[in-house]
Amino acid sequence: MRLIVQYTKDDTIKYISHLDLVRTIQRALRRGNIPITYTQGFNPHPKLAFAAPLSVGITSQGEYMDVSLEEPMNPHDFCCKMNKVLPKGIEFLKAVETEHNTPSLMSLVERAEYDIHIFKPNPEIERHLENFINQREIIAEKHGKKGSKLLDIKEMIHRFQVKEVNSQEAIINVILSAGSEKSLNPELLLNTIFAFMGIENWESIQYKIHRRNLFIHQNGQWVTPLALGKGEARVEQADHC
Amino acid sequence: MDKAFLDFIIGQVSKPVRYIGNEYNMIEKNPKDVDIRFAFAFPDVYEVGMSHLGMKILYHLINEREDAYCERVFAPWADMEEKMRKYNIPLFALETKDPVSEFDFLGFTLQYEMSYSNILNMLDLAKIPLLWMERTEAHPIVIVGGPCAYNVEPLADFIDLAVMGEAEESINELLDLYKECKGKGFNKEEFLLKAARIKGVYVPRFYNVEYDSEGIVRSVTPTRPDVPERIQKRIVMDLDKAYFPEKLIVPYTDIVHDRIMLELFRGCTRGCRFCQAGMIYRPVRERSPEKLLELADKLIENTGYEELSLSSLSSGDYPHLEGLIKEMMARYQKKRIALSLPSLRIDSFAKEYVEDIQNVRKTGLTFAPEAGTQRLRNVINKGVTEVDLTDSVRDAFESGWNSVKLYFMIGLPTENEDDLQGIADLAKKVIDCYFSVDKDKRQKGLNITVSTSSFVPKAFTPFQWVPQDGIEQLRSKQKLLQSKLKMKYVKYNWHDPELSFLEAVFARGDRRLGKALLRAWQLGAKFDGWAEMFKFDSWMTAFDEVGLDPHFYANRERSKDEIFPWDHIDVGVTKAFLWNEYQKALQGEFTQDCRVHCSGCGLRRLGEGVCSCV
Repeated sequence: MRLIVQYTKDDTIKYISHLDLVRTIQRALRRGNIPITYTQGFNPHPKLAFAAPLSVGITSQGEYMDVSLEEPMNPHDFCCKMNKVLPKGIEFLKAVETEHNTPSLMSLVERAEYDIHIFKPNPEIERHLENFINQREIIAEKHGKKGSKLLDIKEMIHRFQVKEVNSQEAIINVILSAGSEKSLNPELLLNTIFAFMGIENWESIQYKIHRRNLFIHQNGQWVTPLALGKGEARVEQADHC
Repeated sequence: MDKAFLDFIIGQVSKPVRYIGNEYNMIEKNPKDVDIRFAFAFPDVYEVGMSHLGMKILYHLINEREDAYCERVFAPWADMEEKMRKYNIPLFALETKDPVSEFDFLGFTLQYEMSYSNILNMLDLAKIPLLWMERTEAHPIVIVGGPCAYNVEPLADFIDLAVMGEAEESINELLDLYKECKGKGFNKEEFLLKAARIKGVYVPRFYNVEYDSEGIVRSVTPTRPDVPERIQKRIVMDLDKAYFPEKLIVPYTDIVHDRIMLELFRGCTRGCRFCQAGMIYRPVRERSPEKLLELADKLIENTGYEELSLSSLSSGDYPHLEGLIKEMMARYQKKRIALSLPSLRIDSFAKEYVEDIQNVRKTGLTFAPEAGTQRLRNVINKGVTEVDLTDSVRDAFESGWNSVKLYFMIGLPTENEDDLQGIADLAKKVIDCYFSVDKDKRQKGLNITVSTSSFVPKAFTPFQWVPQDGIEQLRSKQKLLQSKLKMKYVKYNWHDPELSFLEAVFARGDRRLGKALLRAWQLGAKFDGWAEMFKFDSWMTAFDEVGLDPHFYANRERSKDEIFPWDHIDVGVTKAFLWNEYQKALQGEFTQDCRVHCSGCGLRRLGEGVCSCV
């Protein structure tokens, strides 16, 4: 049986790496005595596949993974059982059963939605952001192992909406490419905004990035990976345990 | 302190997961609900400290008390320290992120001498005066424990008290006393005077040390009535009844020993003469297989760990090992839990276990012959023969292993060039063993790692009288081995001799060394055990500036009757026994395992039935 699970990664654990998160979920699956399918080979480990690894420091309410079980289990019970054994900061919100031949989440996910909070913003920030997004090209400097390179990120920004600006914070809601071919890290976007605003000392600016959801393209619509659920699962609402 | 700001700062350093806490099974309490706040500090980074079993036990033990909240503190890495100093963030505990200076106790565990500079650095980061003389009633009581606490003299200027031996019982007595004293409005000195009367508690300030003209200790005497002349270590006799947590914190990140550690027994009956642990943790006390299985079941259930290690100083000596492993295999194989057995001595290593362990998952194979020739192994009382080694590795190769680690020491007493040649010969024999195994049976890609550490004579061992080899001597031995071990399939690793030298200084140091430690810290010493951070020159400058000769401590031969700075601590084994063992070592005479024959080490003095194994 194959389940697609939506879960959160909140503030308390935003600094753990993807690898640490995987290990943490594997151990929780053991604590929950979940009949998980193991990989073959010398070091068998639980068969898990993640949709789109989250960068360290980013919180999320829209994380997805794919779990294979040896024995069938009610997806709702699965979440309840797991929530009792997960550490603070991870909650399984919803699970749906999917067909065995559903392609991997990683290959399907194309976009991600984020809220970017900039604390104690420059009073002029709204104007800066408007100018920023209205550039014909948005050139970002990407630092990699082989030095840095310039690239135009404009076509990877599918939404750029200033949700709120007050003296405490500015919130920008964005939808960015997050697929295997094209992907834009929200931190790169933020750094590009900072550079555009002429801010050099980024270290002193407090900000927070929160991932709201991931999207796949299905039948001409943008839907979340839960739409991969079969039958009724697709419309079932999340209940709290 | 602004905790949101701290959270933001944590995000700017490498490995932020070291500082976040909130792991599964972390204890949460409201500090307002407790009388005693205890900061349990490990003077190294999170990944090292979290791997330490003693800390896990004491953390949960103290937290069993409703009136106390024990939190964890680790040494921040240099990048975090820089931020903390820049933004004026004091050293904080992982659980509440509260500054440790607000706690009642700040306890450091002393696992190795080279962590001492980190203790000073952590006190400073906590904004607690380093010297006990400069601290006030408002500061936490600084306590230490662990193996290095048996000779805690180099830290005498900095600590309030040391707990000798196993703290499972004494820590509760100490906390009860503290609560009582706090209730009665006693001051710190009054508390310490009372604490000094608890068995196993040592308060260095209540002892006066005099030296002769050569700098050798003349006497150590209590300065207060009612303070014991000798401090006897604490022993927990019944391990089945001793506290062991049923839940363990499960770290998010990969720590050094990331698995369930089950303690089979404490102590060791082998009597290797270089081994401090083998002397100070006597007598042997075993946990029953029933108790171990009960604990294993609960810990697996409560942690979700995928690996369980059976630990002790010499796990192969556990009399019920075979049955225990079989039962564990039967219970946990389905759950795909790997079993590992570190610190197996090669003579107790049996092929059957190798295959059993392999059933689940492969774990590394390590052998520690310690010395290259039988002559030198007799000197150190390592009762292991070459045949033991070759039989074991052949079995391992036949069972599909292809990678073996061999541990040796250089600079052991009486060592000569033959002994070094012996190390290379043994490596060669291990290669031969591999090729003697049928080609279809053995796994491809032979890989042998030979590691040498440099011998550090330690207090409370038969070699506490011997001089350590000089740095140059050790280095030339390493060079010699480098050339001798230039063979296919073999990789040679060695330890930094400067570090071993410094370790030797502190392992047998006296309280005058506190000045050198303080000066070295001022000159930037910290994380000395980390090669990239170790600044030997700062240390040498420090010794020079305070007028102490480090060679006096490391490289001097002691006379039989010299009074040692640690002689007033009673660890059970007597000085007469240790001297006798030293003499036997020089003759190459073997002392039998005390499971076979009592060697009269002195433990039996401590009471009837202390040595249950005999």
